[in-house]
Amino acid sequence: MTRGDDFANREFHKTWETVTGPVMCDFRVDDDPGFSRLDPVDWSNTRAVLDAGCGPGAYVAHVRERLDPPPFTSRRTSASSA
Amino acid sequence: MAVPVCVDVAALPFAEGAFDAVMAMHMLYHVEDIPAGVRELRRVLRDDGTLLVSTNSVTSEREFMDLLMACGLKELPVQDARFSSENGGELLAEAFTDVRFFEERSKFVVPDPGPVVNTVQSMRYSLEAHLASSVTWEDFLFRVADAAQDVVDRHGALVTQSLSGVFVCR
Ligand SMILES: C[S@@+](CC[C@H](N)C(=O)[O-])C[C@H]1O[C@@H](n2cnc3c(N)ncnc32)[C@H](O)[C@@H]1O
Repeated sequence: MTRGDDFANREFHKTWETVTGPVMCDFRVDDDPGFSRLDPVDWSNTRAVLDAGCGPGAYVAHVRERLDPPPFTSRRTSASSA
Repeated sequence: MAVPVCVDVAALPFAEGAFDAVMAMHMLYHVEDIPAGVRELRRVLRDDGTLLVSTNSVTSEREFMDLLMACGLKELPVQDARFSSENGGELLAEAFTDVRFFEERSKFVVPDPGPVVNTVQSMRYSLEAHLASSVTWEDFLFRVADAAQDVVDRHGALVTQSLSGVFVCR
């Protein structure tokens, strides 16, 4: 958007109520795209998690990925082959 | 399975020790009674569980705040300062014995004034009351649009440092 577009037009702002366009957060240059701030929790010993004030749930997928047990491998198969 | 529940953090409908881990990310500064919220987070957490709390520093996004001050904001809104990197540890120590802080830095590189104006518009609830008396909200937005355009013209982008951090509480 350049000077002269609607955002710089006073009349436009008088009626502009809902913000639906991009905001500054969309331009974050994050050193930590991997959410390492979650690392201090011992997730191996964790099942029930409360994300208080979760908003739209930015952390849900990252927490779930840490909670999910590794893929199931059948003990019976290895026992029977022993 | 994630189950959304809409309640006040200061009155959680969960049993003592119901959770193995609790998170309160960038939210405690919104809460009316912060000490009550912290007590509730402790109560619903397992005795040896971990609470993670993220928040901003009061010096975060200084370049953006300076731009707003130059456009007619007479003082910074206090909302984030209610629970910040600076004072959060003290508030958490009321309910947790071991509170450690890990600082995080990132930045916003905004190549267009549109998102700057959108952000200001989305903060109207907290900014409008802090405008100089001669400046209307519409004047303010107009000035911000102009100032952001100037920065983008001169530097290619508005760059502002974000300072935040995580408290790990046990
Ligand atoms: C800045 S958003 C953070 C969202 C999310 N935690 C994140 O980091 O992306 C603040 C959130 O706090 C929630 N909130 C504000 N006051 C609250 C309260 N008293 N109890 C519970 N949640 C609250 C809001 O609904 C909003 O979702």
